[in-house]
Formats: sequence, C-alpha cells, structure tokens
Amino acid sequence: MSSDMFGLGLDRSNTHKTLLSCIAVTKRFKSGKGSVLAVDGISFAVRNGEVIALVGESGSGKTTLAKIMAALIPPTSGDVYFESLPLSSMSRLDLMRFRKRVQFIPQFPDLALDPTWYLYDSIAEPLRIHGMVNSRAQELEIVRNNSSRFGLSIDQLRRKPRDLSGGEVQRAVIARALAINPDLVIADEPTSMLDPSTQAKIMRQLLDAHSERGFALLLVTHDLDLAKAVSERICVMLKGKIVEEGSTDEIFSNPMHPYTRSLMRGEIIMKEDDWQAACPYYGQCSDRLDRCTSSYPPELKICKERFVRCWRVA
Amino acid sequence: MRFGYSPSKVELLGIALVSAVVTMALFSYLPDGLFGAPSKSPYSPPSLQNLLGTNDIGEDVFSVLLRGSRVSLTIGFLGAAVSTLIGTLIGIIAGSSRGILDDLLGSLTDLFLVVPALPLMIVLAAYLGPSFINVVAVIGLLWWPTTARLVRARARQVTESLFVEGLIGIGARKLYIIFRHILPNVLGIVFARFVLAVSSSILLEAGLSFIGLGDPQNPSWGTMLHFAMTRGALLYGAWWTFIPPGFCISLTSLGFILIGMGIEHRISSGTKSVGGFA
Amino acid sequence: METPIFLIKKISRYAFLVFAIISVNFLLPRLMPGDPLVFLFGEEVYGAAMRDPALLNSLTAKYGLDLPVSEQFFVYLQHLARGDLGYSFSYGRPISEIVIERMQLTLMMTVPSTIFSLVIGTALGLSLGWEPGKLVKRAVSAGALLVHSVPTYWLGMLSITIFSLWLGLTPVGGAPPGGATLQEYLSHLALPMSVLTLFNSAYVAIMVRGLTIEVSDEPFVIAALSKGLKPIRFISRHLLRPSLPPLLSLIAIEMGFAFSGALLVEIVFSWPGMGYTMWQAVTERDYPLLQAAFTMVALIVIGANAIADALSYIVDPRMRQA
Ligand SMILES: Nc1ncnc2c1ncn2[C@@H]1O[C@H](COP(=O)(O)OP(=O)(O)OP(=O)(O)O)[C@@H](O)[C@H]1O
Ligand SMILES: [Mg+2]
Repeated sequence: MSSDMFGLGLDRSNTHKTLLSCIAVTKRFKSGKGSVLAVDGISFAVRNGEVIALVGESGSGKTTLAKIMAALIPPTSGDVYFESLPLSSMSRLDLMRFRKRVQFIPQFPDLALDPTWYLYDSIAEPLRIHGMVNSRAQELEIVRNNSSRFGLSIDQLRRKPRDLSGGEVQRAVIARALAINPDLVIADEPTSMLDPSTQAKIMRQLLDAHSERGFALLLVTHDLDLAKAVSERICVMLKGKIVEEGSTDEIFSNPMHPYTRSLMRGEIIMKEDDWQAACPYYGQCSDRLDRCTSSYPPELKICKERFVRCWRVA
Repeated sequence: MRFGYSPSKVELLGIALVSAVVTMALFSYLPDGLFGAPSKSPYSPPSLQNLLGTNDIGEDVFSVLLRGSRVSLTIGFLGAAVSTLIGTLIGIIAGSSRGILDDLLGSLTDLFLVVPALPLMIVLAAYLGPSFINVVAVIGLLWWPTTARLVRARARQVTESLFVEGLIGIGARKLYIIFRHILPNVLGIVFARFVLAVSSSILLEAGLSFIGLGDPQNPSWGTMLHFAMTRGALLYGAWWTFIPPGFCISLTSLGFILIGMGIEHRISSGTKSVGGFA
Repeated sequence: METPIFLIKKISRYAFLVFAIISVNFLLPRLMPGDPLVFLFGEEVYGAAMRDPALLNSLTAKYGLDLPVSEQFFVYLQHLARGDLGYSFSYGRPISEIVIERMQLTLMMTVPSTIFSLVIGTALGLSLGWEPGKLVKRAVSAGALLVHSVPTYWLGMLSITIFSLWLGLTPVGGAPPGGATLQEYLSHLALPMSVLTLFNSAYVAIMVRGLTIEVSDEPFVIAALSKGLKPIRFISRHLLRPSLPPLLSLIAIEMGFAFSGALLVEIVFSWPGMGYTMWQAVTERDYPLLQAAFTMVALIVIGANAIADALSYIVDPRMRQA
C-alpha cells in the first residue's frame, strides 16, 4: 500500500499549534481485588489540523487514553490541556465549549446511539444541545449534508438503530460527531467492527471531511497500514506506555523499537508472560539486554519530534 | 415486531377480559333499574326480574355489580398510576446516580420491600378513614417499591451503556440525559409494571374494602364481599351476592396480569418467542 | 476479613428497619389528620376520657403527652421495653397478652401452610418450567395464574359455602375452645389452611417456573442438555444450586404474602389470629390494638427475611463478598 493511498496530498511539512495535550497521564482501574494500570504516565500532544495515529495491540490502553483525552473518564493522575487550559480546572462553561469542539467516536457502533431515538434526532442532538441552529430548516440542512456525505439516505435517518446495520449506525455516529464542526475528532477504531471494503469507504469519507474542514484527527487503530496511509505522525503504545513516537515517514523508514518492528511484520501476538522485567516487551524481545529487566528505558530523543524507549537504541 | 404490534394469545385473552370489564363499567352509566329494579324482598335468589338476585337491602345485585366495576377499575388505575409514577421517579433517579443518592433511594426501596404492604395499608387506611381518595393514596404510596427496584436495575443498565457516554461527550447535561434518554429506555418496563400494578391495585382495593375500609359512598366489588360477610349473606347461603363480585375481581386481575406478563415477555425476549405463555 | 463488615452491614440494616417500624408507629397517630388522642386511646376510651377529666389526666400522664415530642418518644420506648403495648378497651385486656396469644394462632396456620406451599409450589414450578410448551403444562400454568388472581378471602367464602354449608364437612369457623384435641384443631384449620396453601403454592409455582425457564434458556444449559445431561442432574446442578439464594429470598417474600393472605382468610373463617384481630380493631376503632397487631406482623415478616438472608449466607459463600 502506498503511503498516499487516499490521494490526499497531505501537507506534512506544516508545523501547527498544539490543540490538545496530556501530561503524565495515568489511569488505574480497580478490578476485583487488584488493579490494572491501563495508562502509565503518558504525555503527548495533538496539533491543530493534523492526523495523528495511536497504534498498539489490543489491551495496550488506547481506548482508555482516548477517552481521557476526550474528558469522558477522569485520569488517576496527570492532566489534559485543551489550548493550554487544564481539564481538571475547567468551569462548566469551558467544559461545554470543549465538548463542542472535541468529538469522540467510539469503538463499538452497536450501542453508540440511543436505541429509542430516530437516527435523524440523534444526529441533530449535538446541534440542539449547543444551540447551533435557529430553525428546523437549518437543522435539516446540516443533518442532511453530514449524513449524505457518509452515504446515509433520508429514509435511513427515519429509522431507529436496531433497524440499521452496524456500518450504517457507525456512519451516523461519525455524521453526528462532524455535524457541529469540531476542531478535533478522536476516533477510536471507527471502522474496526466493519468489513474491509466498508472500512475503506468510511475512512475515505472521514478523511475527505478532514481535508475539507481542517479538523485535527486523533485516530486510534491497531492497523499499522491504515496509520501509514492516513496519518502524519504515529504513537506506538505498549502496555499503557508510548514506546515510540515520530513522523509516519521516519517510523516506517527506520522503526527503532523492536515492538514497532514486530507490529510492522504483523506479529502482534502478545502472550501473557511471567517475566517481572521492567520493560513489558522483555518476554518477546529478540534484542533484549540485561538492564531491560531492572529499569524501564527513558524517553530517548532521537531528533526533533522523535522519541523511543528502548535500551538497545541508547 | 418491526412491522407493528401483534398481540400474543395470552395478551389477547387478557385484552378480552379487560374489555369485558370496561364494557361493564360503561353499562353502569345507563339509567338505574334498567337491568333489574330493586325488590322489596332481601336475598331473593336470581330470577328473571333480578338476574343475579337481590342483596340484604333488596338492591339488584347485577346493578350493584356494574357500579362496582366502575369503582374497582378507577381505583385500580389511579392507584397504579400513583405507585408507578413514584416507583419510576425513585428508580430512575437511583439508577442513574451513584454514591449517596443511589444508596439512599436503594435502601429506602429495600426497606419498603420488606415491610408487609397490606397490613401497613390497613393501618394507614384506618387512620385516614374510609374514602375514595384515601384508598388511592394508601395503595399508591405503598405499592411502588417493586416498580422502583425494577426501574432502578434497568436504568442502571442503560446508564452504563455506551450511548450515555456518547451523550456526555456531546455535552448533554445529567437531567437532560435522564429525561430524554434514560426515561424512554425504561418506558417499556414502566408500562409493563403499570399494567401489573393495576391488577395489584384492584386486588388491594378489594382487600381493603372487604375489611371495611372502602368508600361507603362508592361501593366496589370488595365492598359487596364485605357486606356479604358482615350482614349474613354467607351464612344465609345467598351465594349470588358474593360469587359474582369475587368472580369479577379474579378475572379482571387475571386480565391485567396476562397483558402485563405479555409486555414483560416482549421486552425481555425482543422478537424471539420463548416457549412460555406467549 | 470481609465477612464481619458484611454481617455488620446486614444486621444494622435490620436493626434500622425495626427502629423505623417503631418510629413510624410512634409518629403515625401523632401525624394523622384528626385528634391524636383518639388514635392513642382508641375511640371508646377517648369518648370516656372526654367526659372524665380525671381519666384524661391519668392517661396523659401515662403516655407523657404533656411532654415535648422527643420525650414522648422516650416514654414510648420505655413502655415498649417493658412489653407494655397499652390496653385494649374492646377486649378489656392488655394488648401484649392479646397479641402474643393471637400470633400463635396465626403462626399455627401460616407456618405449615408456607412449608406445604413451598414444597408443592417448587415441585409444580419445576415440572411446569421443564418443556413449558406442552399443552397440559400451559393449561396448568394458566390455572396457577388464575388461582393467584383470586382473592383468598373469596376462595374462603366459596369453600365455606361448599364444604361447611352444603356438605357439612367442616365447622363454619372459629377456633376450638381451649384444651381441644389435635383433631378438633385440624377440623377447624383444614379449610383455611387449604385455601392459603392453594393460593401460595400457585404463587411459588409461577415464580419457580419462570426461574426454570430462564435457566434452561441459557446457552450453556442448552449445550449441556444436547450433550445428554439428564433432567435430574440439570435440576440439581444448574437450577437448584445456583438459584437457592434467590429461592430463599423468595421464601421470605412469600412469608410476607402468606401473612397478608392469612390475615384476610382468618376474617372469613373467624380464626382469631392477627388478621381477625386487626379486622376487629378496625371495626371497633381500637387503634392501639391495630397498631400493635401490625407491629407484630411486620416484625415476624422482617424476622423471616433475616432468617432467609442468614440461610443464603450459609448456603452461598459468594454472598459474603456482596
Ligand atoms: N472500566 C474498566 N475497568 C477495569 N479495567 C479496564 C476498564 N477499561 C479498560 N480496562 C483495562 O485496561 C486495559 C486497557 O484497555 P483499553 O480498552 O484501553 O485497551 P485498547 O488498547 O483500547 O484495546 P482494544 O484494541 O482491544 O480496544 C485492559 O487491560 C482493560 O482490561
Ligand atoms: Mg479499544
């Protein structure tokens, strides 16, 4: 697959202002008697208008991080900053503004919309909540534009979720997120539950909307090919940590972390291992060193905007 | 299901029973004496003049039965409406909150579930005195806990479902989410509970009236049983005074139970029909 | 380690419930519309007290009615602790005596009836829930529903008409005189207990049937059955064991129902238990007696719930973490 499969001619040289960032964010879930550290001290930033991909295998904490960034769950420690305003100290009004400008698309479309509501109303709902329309006609116009762009017909808008396919509901969820013209869309594997051809179609439509309106897109995915095709930058997540971060071109031309390399080769089977090593990849790593057991490698800056956490590289 | 509502056999039977009672209640508005004039002789057995005979004061039992249907149905509906309203409110607030509010309302519901309802109703009704409104109030105020518990469980389930998180994400407020989204999603259960509560209310009203706590101005089927019991019809062997009202209470209550169970079944199994009553 | 906390929580819950009942009892007569003295003394004594200032004074002093409400509550609790529930004018006896005597009569009827209905209802419910589609079973289930919709007291009136008046098989009502033989008791209890048992078995059968259908619809059970699991094994392994705790709480609730049903059945058969007493208290406006009777009934039902809780705690250790 070429890196410009969607033919967008993305402008990757442009440096933008930071829109949303998190600093030292940690999330610990209590489960039964123990607890899971789903996100472990992550810091990274999304800039205005860029497409950034968050990749990692199942269970690496992508969804958790994405929800923290979207202010859907509170972090255990650390904070998220929206245009340098911390989420934790936002006023109600600020938070409302945040919700208007940052939209989250969930991983599972099945239950993403109220089953008792018609699709049309669900898509129009954020417009109503934020008082963005003055008339029914205007609302209809916006809803129709955003839905038809994702291939939803007027007839489908008159149905309830259970009378639609998963793919159609997911289109509606995306249309709803875009209806209020957000500055940032956080999409959590928006197409992973769909078949490949539908996946490609919906992704393409989402990217079209991106290049037209210029919102930033934080794309969560476990599909490296997809990340390569659409994103400008990539963060690789492993067990709650970002182990490698850099521009898409650099990561693909020179993957530094052994985990990234195995992801690229498509070997993304992470077995539960009994290694009590500091580096969570120790058990699978072909290049492991003794010091990997004792201490976790720090973020090593390779060059501008390029980090990796591996003792090999150091 | 998708193409409209087609009632199951069980629901059809329920609907038939309920329609019969509603028809009775409507007939009661026809002029007095149409179905049988009062007779001079008390406890006269069924005859052509008095289809169901007469009672202790010579009233036509059939006419009294028709008027009783009106009272029983009205109290059944009102009592059910009040109790369903209270139960839904408490259940939905508890189910969509966390922490103290949920704990408090949940414990309150559990407490009320343990206290035997009928004896408490008897005490309350005895204090308040027999009147139509009091009977409705006593039933309505004490018959909500089951509804509250079921609505709470369902509301909790809805609150934890993915779309509510999505609503928070688009900036929806809590009260908005409760009333615009959680409420419509619990409405199925609320409706089923309401229909079942009508059945219970009718039985409870009958029980209270049987004890003598019903409204003497508006004698219901339970009141008829009360008089049959206290004024000697039972021992006199005037079965026509107490068989018809008991029959009506049972069949009406059964009718509502059948409809309510049909709805509950529909909600829990979606479109598939398990080999139950349906 | 978690066990004591769980136990303390449960126990404090029941303690609170008992306290709540007592407080409600204290508050009701004082909060209801009308003169609280009527409710506190009962109508007849109230009438007498209104005519006789000396009586009014002594009663006021006894209940501490001239004290502030909080102190009245204290006096009330003191009376309660001494087992003094007041005096019933309609019986001319201390209420505690009446209530204890009559509770025995109610228990004499409800306890065996509850046991019978649990056994009959569970057996019936299991068989009805097993392959519930069969015509006979559906008919019986519908019958159970019908029985459940029939007022118990009406069933009692019917059975008196048939068995006592027409067939002359049983006494019309009442309890046998003191020192009666077991046989005499049985002849008086046969009808009311049968009515009550019929009604309660129908209820238990409906519940157990629902539970059975629910469990046998689970995918793992369907899989096990298709692999040749025997129905008996299914019942003991998949149905009874996991559903014992819900069954126990069902029993507790059933006790509550049995009581409510029994109260009304007693009236029809003039069986002088709690229900009959409440009925007479209502008729005579003997409010103190009514209230004491209610309290006793409530306490017994709460006790049944507590026992059921304790049993499910013993049966199912997983409950201890809840
Ligand atoms: N609400 C929760 N309670 C307890 N543990 C949780 C919760 N949510 C997530 N986790 C745990 O946190 C870890 C990360 O989960 P997360 O959903 O973020 O992974 P993911 O990278 O999105 O995986 P996938 O690709 O499968 O979606 C997992 O081990 C998961 O079990
Ligand atoms: Mg995920």
